Amino acid sequence: MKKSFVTIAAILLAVSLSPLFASDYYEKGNTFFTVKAGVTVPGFSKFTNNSEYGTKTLPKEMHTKIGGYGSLAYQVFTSPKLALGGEIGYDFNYTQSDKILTIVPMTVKLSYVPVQTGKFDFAVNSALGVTYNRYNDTKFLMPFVSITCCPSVYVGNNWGLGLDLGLWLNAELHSDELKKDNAIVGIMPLTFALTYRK
Amino acid sequence: MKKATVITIVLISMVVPFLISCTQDATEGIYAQVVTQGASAKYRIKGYIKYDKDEKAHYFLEEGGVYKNSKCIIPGNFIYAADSYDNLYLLGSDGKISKYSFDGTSKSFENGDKVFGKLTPNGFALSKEKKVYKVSGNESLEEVSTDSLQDDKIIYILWSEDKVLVQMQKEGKINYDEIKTYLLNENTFTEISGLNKVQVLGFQKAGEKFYFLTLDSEDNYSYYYSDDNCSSVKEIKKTPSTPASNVNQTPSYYDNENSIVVFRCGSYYDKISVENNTATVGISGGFASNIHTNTMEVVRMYPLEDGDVIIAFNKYGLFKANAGKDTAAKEIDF
Repeated sequence: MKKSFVTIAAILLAVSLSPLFASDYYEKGNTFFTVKAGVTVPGFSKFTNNSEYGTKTLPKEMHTKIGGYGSLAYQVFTSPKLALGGEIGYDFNYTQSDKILTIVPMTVKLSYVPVQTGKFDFAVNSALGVTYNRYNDTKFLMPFVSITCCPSVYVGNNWGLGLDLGLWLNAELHSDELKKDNAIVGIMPLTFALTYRK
Repeated sequence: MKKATVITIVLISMVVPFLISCTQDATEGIYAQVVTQGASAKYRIKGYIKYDKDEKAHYFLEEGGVYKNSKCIIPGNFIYAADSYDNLYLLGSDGKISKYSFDGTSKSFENGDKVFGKLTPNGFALSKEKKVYKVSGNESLEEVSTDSLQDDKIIYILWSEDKVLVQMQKEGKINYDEIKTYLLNENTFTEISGLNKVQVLGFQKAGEKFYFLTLDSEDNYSYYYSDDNCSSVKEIKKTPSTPASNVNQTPSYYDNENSIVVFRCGSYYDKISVENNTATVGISGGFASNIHTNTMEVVRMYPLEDGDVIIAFNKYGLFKANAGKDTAAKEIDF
């Protein structure tokens, strides 16, 4: 796993430093407005204080079906390769009992765009924030972090279409008698991203 | 002040109270609920009727009607169900009882002008006039003589196996000093004087013995038993823990060997030895370890063979458990 990350990081670094992509397309002050829509695949849930539940992987074990996700994001370039902003989304997944698990991520989003030709972008996005979660009658806030990558193709100066995929981590943390239900949950989003840049 | 700062402050002032209120509502782990709930949790179970071992079929009353496993065999708006004389009796929201066979075929049944408010799973009906009737296998209900009851109103009706227990008092709010308790023996109500002036929350028959969970006017919970058709009752133990709330009758079952298991709230249960008439209260873990009871209502504990029991929950589906074994209850999928 560690080797894979190092390899990916090395490739990104090499690509970003290559002469082909040496010149930056974006400037400080440029903006992104992105609308995303797609699916989310339950990846794993690890119950940190409950060996009986242990770790569940993929939809069948997690009793959670593939769901849908949509979001709005707005970012401003603070340097030619870094864009900072926020994203708010809505995710739903039906569970095995045909009830809806709702996740609403509210995050600060930082994008690193090592590849930017004007016609093609490759961005690595990280987000940090909280999610509002609801299931049955239970509502709970959870810290949230995500990392995704998004290659995008631009038609004309403003509009681009990309494919965003990566991993979300949603942490359910209790400090009271529900501590036994503490869990870290990984969800894999696969979404189309329509971007308007200015 | 910059426009962006104003917008940020407004957004934060709107979002923060919302976020705080969300956290306060949490009573059960969300993902623990998700991974422990199987397909049967899709049903909102109002009553568990019976398990047919030969057909491996669970019959239960759901919001949409009566289900045999995942198939609705009798659609309709029913509030109580009873299994008696191999027939299925259903009390509808209109206060009328209808009769069906277990294949879903309707049978003729006469209500007359009676309107009912409750039907116990063992086939006793309480009319709006607070009279007690019994299904008898015939095409109408059989009125149970209430001559031995004083001229009070029935406030509670509890059941276990083939018995019912009623509690009575005069009209108005619950007044412990007025409460009288009667057990129906054959066709005659017999007063249990030892259970007057308390509210009976749990009632379980075990062979020839009877066990009761009571609440008195000073909020003391106690277990009692009787081994002689309730001419006298003896206290087993006072218990500090509160029983599950929002249930008509604290759920319990007799394992046909030696133990009565009484389900309490918060993954706790009590166990009573029928042989020694002793109670162990506040047991945690075991079969109840993975059951999150904070907000759920136990609809029924339905005993099977070998000490096994089906626990039907309103929102969480059906579980199979055995209180004699140190293993968590397993959800039933079908």
